[in-house]
Amino acid sequence: MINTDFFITPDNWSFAGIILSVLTIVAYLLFLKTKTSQKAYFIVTVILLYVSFGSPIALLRDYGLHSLTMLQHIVLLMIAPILFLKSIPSNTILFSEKFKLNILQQPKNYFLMFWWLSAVMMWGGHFLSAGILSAETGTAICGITATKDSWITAIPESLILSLLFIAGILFALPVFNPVKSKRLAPLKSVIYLFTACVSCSLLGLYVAFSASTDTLNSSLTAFTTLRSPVPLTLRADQELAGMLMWVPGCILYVLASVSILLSWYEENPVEKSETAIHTAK
Amino acid sequence: MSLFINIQEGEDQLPEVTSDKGRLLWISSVDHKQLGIMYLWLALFFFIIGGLEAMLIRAQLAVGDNDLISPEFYNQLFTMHGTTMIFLVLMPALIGLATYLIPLMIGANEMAFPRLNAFSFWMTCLGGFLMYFSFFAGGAPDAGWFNYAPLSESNYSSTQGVDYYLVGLILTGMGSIGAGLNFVTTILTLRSPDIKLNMLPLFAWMIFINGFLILAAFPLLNAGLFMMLIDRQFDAHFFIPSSGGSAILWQHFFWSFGHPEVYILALPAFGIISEVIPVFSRNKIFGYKFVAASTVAIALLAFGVWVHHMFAVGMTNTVNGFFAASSMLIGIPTGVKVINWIGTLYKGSIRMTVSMMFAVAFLIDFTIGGLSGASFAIVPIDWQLTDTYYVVAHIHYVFLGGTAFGIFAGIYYWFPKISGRFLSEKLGKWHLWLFVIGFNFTFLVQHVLGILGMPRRIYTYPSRFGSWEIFNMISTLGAVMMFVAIAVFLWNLFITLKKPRTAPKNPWEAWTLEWATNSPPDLKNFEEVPRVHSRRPLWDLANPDNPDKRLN
Amino acid sequence: MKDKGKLLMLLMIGSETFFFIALIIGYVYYRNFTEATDTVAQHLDAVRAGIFTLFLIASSGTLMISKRALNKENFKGFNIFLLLSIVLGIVFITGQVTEYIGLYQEQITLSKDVFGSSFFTLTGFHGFHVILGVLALLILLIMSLGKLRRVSIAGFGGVEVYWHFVDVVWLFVFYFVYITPLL
Repeated sequence: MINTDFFITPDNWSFAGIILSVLTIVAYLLFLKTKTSQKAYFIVTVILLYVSFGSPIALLRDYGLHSLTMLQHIVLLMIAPILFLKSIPSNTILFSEKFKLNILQQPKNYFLMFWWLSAVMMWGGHFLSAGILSAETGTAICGITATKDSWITAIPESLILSLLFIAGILFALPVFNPVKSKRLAPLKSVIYLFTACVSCSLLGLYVAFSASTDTLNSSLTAFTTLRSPVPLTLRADQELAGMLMWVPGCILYVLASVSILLSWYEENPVEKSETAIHTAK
Repeated sequence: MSLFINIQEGEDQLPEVTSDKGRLLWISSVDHKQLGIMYLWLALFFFIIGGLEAMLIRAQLAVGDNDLISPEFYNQLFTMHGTTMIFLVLMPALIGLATYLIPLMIGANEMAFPRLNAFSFWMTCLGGFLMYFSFFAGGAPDAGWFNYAPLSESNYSSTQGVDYYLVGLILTGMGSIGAGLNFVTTILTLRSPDIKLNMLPLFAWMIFINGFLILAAFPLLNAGLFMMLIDRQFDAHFFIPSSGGSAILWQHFFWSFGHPEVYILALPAFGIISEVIPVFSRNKIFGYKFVAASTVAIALLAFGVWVHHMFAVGMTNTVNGFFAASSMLIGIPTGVKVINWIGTLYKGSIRMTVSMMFAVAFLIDFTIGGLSGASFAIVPIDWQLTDTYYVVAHIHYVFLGGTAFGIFAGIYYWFPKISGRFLSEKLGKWHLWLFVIGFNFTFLVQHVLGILGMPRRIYTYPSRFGSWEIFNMISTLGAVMMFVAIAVFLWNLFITLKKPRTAPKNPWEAWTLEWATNSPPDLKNFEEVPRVHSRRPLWDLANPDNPDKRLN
Repeated sequence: MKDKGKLLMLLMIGSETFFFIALIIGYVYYRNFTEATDTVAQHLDAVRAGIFTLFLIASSGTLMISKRALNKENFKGFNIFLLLSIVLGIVFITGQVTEYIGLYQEQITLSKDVFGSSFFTLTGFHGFHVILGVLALLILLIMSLGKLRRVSIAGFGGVEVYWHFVDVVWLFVFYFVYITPLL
């Protein structure tokens, strides 16, 4: 049974986190002029960040739940960055002409680099998280084992999570750039997202199907089950992790692709240039 | 602004087979129209063979305790029936229609790689005949169309049949990959300069997406086939559990191809329906962008659902649960399409030609197939019904009631374009009604048989199971009706091809570019391509005062 | 995209990628997802294979140089570096063949067990692709040496992409077959 007390206990909800979130939202609302939808996106982003960093869900990690790490990773790597980019007004200093950093100015030209960078960071982040998890709980995660005092434990988990969030933003930049003209062409975006899906699927599949191996059978099967507020056997936990990474992750990108295409079908360059002239006047 | 764009090339008719050197000109042809027609003949040839096999199966099952044919031969029959119908009938028929129509629809005179096109056709042809050669080489494959290991390994299937199956499918698979490559490159590089990618007719768009599906799915099958061939020929151990291999891995390989394959066969049929329904209901397609975008969604999701074919092998609940969810999800884009087709029919002035009637039959029967498919996504139902006649009914509702009806709609629709003659509407209606009624008789009762517990692929059953015998007899009678329907269709083809060519350029008042050419098109499709400004170029030409919204 | 030959090759490479992913999944599946221990890995010489890997990577480099020469219409340089790429490719194949001979002498065969099967299938299919690539490069070389002085850029573009692909696939094969057992 899921222990609901764990989620209700106020001690498990980071108070500082709430203050920080509220302040961020207030600052956003005060200083940036945005559409209502963008405000909503921003608030959801902040809430997601809070949930992954400061809520009991973040604490669950201490019980060695691999699936939970994966959930955090999906939120930080895939969902929050897209919402975040959608909430940023296109005239922000970071994306305006004044900011003379070529990579941010023309993310289109660097999309391969962004892809590889974020793919490496994604795999690396998962690997490190799995290592830390293994070091803390003494179980093998997908064949990755680390001892209690290995160097891996010196890396703070929140650092990895923050890096993942940044990687997510970098990955989403060529497709969801706040400035429309700097985005990849629609069909290229779909291919960009699809290839990411493939890489995601492979890792997800590996994680899910390596759950049945002997390394897991020989480890303490009941270890996480007994203490954790969300009791899962090691095998179910790991399969859940793999499937989470694969199915909702891919569906998210499928939805993104479909929404990009839906607006593309009605696109008319003549009309577009006419309106551009119109606004220029 | 000129109305036409000039394209240079010579002008000839397609060579007649009976003319001087005619046969040689066809065999050595690299013309997309000739290859398309040859694909269609190939499909028809194997359709007749596969149909005869099905009739033998139904005859064997008509009554209990029957021993009309031997059990060994029965195994070969159902294996070859499934393999033939999927790889040698539906694939070539759809690829053939696409090969014929894609260049015409996008205002091109050829495919991007004509010789690759010919290569693809002859590989498919070779693979098919090689597979059938197995009947003369000691026995046809007999391990089912998905050829599960270890039954298909040499210790359990000692004839050469499975080897022929493997080599045959590798060859047809290469042919399909070649066709997929050609479709994608043709659509990307040879469009008339006016046509932007978001202005493609839906059939062309779906073939474009389908090309990617073929490119991604077939290599997975080929890898599995090669591994099994190495198992059988060189004593490797990939799929033999007794020596360290894994039989489940074969299932993973096969179904990670097999499920996308379902959509490879369904998407072009969706494309045909999306052309036929608007033309015969005199309405623009309702929600082009949703039909087109849902195609992409289907193509992407198709790779994430294959384990629902394997729920019974003993995966954990976590894995099954996620695959059940994703299998349910893939129903949504398909449902969106069905709703759009119905929306197109709404308030249209519908012309009930045979083609349109097949399209409507498609809508109804494919929806039934889709719903029985969704029921398999529910894991406990799957456990109960897997490997029963319920599956047989489902697969036939999807492939026959779906894809094949779509192909028939397409044949009746494009026949005037391809041959310059109209198929008889009267015989066509006999074909349609006999086939649709026979089809539903045959397979609707098989759902019940499956629920009653009749396993698929059994050779016979005890005649004391009264209800089984009644339902099987109904099923066989329905199959006989379909057999008669196909005879009518062949007769229709035969007499039509003897008539003179009378079809005008655009007999159905359709709107896509293929109808701007002669019927049949000259060897060089277009002297000049009409200017295109919307998705319905011929509508714009016919109604200059009321054109569609400009897209370029 | 204007260059349809290169486009075709890119699409085919995409397709071939799935083929090799399937073969690699097979190998990883047997090693990591079953209880068997890899019997082939202990007989493999990663250093030796690594050296031959360098030859293959170098051949990609020389092919890029020869492409640059072709774009500058420097046919002599083009021919020399194309020939060098072919020789490097052949060296790689020779390395693979001698490795196979060595393994067969140690009774590591295709039919020994599931790891023998996967090893020879995976590396064999890769070797087959290298041989095809060498043949394609040879055809280009013969064409440019013979009367057809100008090799069509489209043809070269396609073959070049293919050759780099073969190279990249090998890096993955090398990682999964030779490196991961050492980790």
